[in-house]
Amino acid sequence: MKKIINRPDDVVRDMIEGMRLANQDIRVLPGTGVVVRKDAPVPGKVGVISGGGSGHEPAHGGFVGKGMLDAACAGDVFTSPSVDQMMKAIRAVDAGRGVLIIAKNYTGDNLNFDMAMELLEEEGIKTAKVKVHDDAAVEENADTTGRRGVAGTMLVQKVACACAEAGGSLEEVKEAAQSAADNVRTIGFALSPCIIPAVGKPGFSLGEEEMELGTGIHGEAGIRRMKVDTAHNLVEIMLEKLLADMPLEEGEEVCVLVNGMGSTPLMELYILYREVHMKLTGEGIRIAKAYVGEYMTSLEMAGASVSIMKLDERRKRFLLAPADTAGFKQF
Amino acid sequence: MDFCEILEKIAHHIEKNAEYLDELDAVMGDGEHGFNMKKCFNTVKLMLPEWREMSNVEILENAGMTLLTAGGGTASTLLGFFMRKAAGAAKKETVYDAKSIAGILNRALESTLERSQAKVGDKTLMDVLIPAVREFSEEAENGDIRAAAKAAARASAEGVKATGQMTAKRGRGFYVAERGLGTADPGAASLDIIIQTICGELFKEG
Repeated sequence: MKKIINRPDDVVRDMIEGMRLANQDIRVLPGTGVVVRKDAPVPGKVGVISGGGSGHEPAHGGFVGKGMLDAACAGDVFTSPSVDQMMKAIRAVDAGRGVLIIAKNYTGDNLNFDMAMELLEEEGIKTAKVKVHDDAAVEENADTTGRRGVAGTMLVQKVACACAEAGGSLEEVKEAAQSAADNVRTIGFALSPCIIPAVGKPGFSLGEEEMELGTGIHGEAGIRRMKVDTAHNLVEIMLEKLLADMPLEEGEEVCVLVNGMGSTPLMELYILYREVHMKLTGEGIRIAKAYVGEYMTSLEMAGASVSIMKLDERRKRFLLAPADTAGFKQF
Repeated sequence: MDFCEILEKIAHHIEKNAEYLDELDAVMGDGEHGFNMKKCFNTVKLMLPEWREMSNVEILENAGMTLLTAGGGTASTLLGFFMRKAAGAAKKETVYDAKSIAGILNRALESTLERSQAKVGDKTLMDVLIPAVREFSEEAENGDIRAAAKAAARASAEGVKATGQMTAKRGRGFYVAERGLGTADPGAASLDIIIQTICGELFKEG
């Protein structure tokens, strides 16, 4: 393991401390790993929070700020935050109009958020939750937890938070988040694995010429192993899978997010985007907005994901609204 | 009945059994359940001096919150939640006898079931919690709290034993499936230690 850290057990604490020192628009609730917008609770605004295991930076702490999240809870690496962290985050951002939680669909995260919500109900704080499960690589199955929440979560957060910033009620913000979650799909791939600092070795291995399609953001198994192919062919395969799950009609408007997993050069992300752009526009799809960069990483995993969100007037307006955070700026 | 004393005893028994719990978890999950539970109850133990002056209900509430904070696993989180909900239900009671305690436990169980969604037979700590509360309640109908505690302790011991014969349908054990046959669920085992400690203290008081 080659990492620039102090002690494996301290990585999250040290990172959160670094985030706080580097960003004057946030504060950290002492001893919690909860990053909060400095001016929270923002009077008259519905609060929006998110959270999950660490290792996906800038998600979610890097998205705390004006136009985006009011707070984010950072758990240990790839581990759900505690109920206590979530309760503190919610209390810190509630301005009396309620708080929406945007959770990626993982058992631990959702169990803990649900408990936090139930316990805060006793304190009279109104909450609602929307689950994001955008990973088109995993089939929905009634017996299991269902699809994983991956990079598309950032787009859902953007839409919901803009709705909250515009003065939406808790019900309206929840509805905006839900419509965004219902209309976004993601598919990813990995070229090399990631190493959890406290574990010290990779969770899986890939051969020199091998890649895995559909890998999750914690290195969970994907759909299949294949030989590394050209960007052109890879995008063909990825979009076929994604569009089979969420068909697009000619003339439809979308947002595209090409997300790097941690150690994929921007050069390759732009090459991927070019292929996605040409393929979609070639089929008469209109791309209203594109994001290319690192938004939901998996430590040092090499690989990327492509997310597509279908837009209507409302989602488009919220998506394009300004935001000023360390990990996402738009003016 | 002094809750601080009971929590101290629980911390002691969990610490004594931490290695055994880790061994169970090495088969069922990632081998750190004993370590995690020890961490949780050691945190509780460190807080006890501050709780000495509190009522039992407040102690229960604080201990539950501590598990929700120090936790690091679903088992301790669910247990902390159960304790918090039990404390919430207890606040609404004026008398604490066998029947009202059964009511408190059942309300806390109901909320916990709703969250965990695990059933008897899924090989989780619910295989201990559900029968223990059920047997306690049945026996509590007769108004004898010691008999109720005895029934709960028996149900708890049988519950943890039964998990050894199960294939997990939920929780971490789900991923090892058949390979977990013959090994008890670590979360069920640690809860059993807690229940046996509480019930043991009850008998001692006479």
